[in-house]
Amino acid sequence: MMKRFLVLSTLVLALLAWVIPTDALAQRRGGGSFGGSRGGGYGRSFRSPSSGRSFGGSRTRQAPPPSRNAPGSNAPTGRFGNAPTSRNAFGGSRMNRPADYTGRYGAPRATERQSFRGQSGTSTNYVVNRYGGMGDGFMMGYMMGSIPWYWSMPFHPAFYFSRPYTHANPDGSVGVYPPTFQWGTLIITLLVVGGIAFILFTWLRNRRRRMAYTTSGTMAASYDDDERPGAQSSFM
Amino acid sequence: MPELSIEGNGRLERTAIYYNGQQLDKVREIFIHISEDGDFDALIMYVGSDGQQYTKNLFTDYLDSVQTEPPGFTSEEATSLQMLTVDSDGTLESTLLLRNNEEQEGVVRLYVHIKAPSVEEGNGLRSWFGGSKNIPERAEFAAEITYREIDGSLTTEGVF
Repeated sequence: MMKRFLVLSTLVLALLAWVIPTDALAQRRGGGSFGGSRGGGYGRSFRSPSSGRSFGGSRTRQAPPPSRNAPGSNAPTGRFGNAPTSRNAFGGSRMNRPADYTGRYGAPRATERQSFRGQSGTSTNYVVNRYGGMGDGFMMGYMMGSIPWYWSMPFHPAFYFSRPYTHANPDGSVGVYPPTFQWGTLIITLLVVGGIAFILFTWLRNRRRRMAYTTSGTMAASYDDDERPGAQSSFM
Repeated sequence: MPELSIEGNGRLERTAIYYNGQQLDKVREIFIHISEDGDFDALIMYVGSDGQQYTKNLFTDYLDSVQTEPPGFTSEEATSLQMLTVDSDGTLESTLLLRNNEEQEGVVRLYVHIKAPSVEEGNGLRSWFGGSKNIPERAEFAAEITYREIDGSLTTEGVF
């Protein structure tokens, strides 16, 4: 009984934990890689994009944090759709400063400046830090503005990676760091998939067992000798 | 008058129940307890052709939807088996007991209890929440007759 309770509790917790990040990821599933417009103001995290694109959109109401921008500069503030200049609201851990990332993963193998033009025509400068590996590819995918739906599916490796980490540079550009592998997502996914597989296995096993018995749930003609016209036992 | 016969060798796998000459199928349990003190219980539990489980009095009730099958034993096999026959209309006075077609006399008590075991329903999802729905039952096979000897002593014999 205790074992069943533990199994059930684990499954329920795993499902809950799986749903929560999925809900968060659903915002990037809306079409914009980084969650869309920033219209909410400084304190807001990202919200679902209305246009389906990461770049461009409603940046007119957005004012950059004065302390982070060089005086007098007109650095674009749209950047990634959901990338606040001072705080990272992407999934995964926040990165207040690049040292948070480089302290953990080392110096990037390559750093290059890239400019992406949004739908509204404004371009944003990004400082792309490359570390190689799968995360690089995912980072570029996010920066392209939209990601395919299957990136949010458990069978795709991108599902197990965080969003890219960003950081607003003083010159107005945005430093981008590759997504990192999320062990928690993997473990929870394994728990959920394993739980579903266990349920299916149990169901199939019981179904097979029921096939051997009669519909009344009692022993089937285990005493019957089917090779003969009459059974040698009246009991079932 | 209904006639019930039980033919077998003492094992459930080779025990046939005949009701008025027809071999029954899907029988779950037979319970007969007849004594000269007035006890008269004769019950049969079976699964009918509609899948429902029935419990009937063997000699007074109509056996609804009872399932039958062709005789399973050949005449040669039958020679190595024991046959117990109860011929009755549900009253002690009219009950006739035969063993291998020989009428029995001086019977004090007849006790027959043959039951097929139930099967565990498995540890399905439902059992996680509601626990096991049925209580497992073991097979039962008891059949004995108590006679009163000429000297007044009682002797109990197994039928099979």
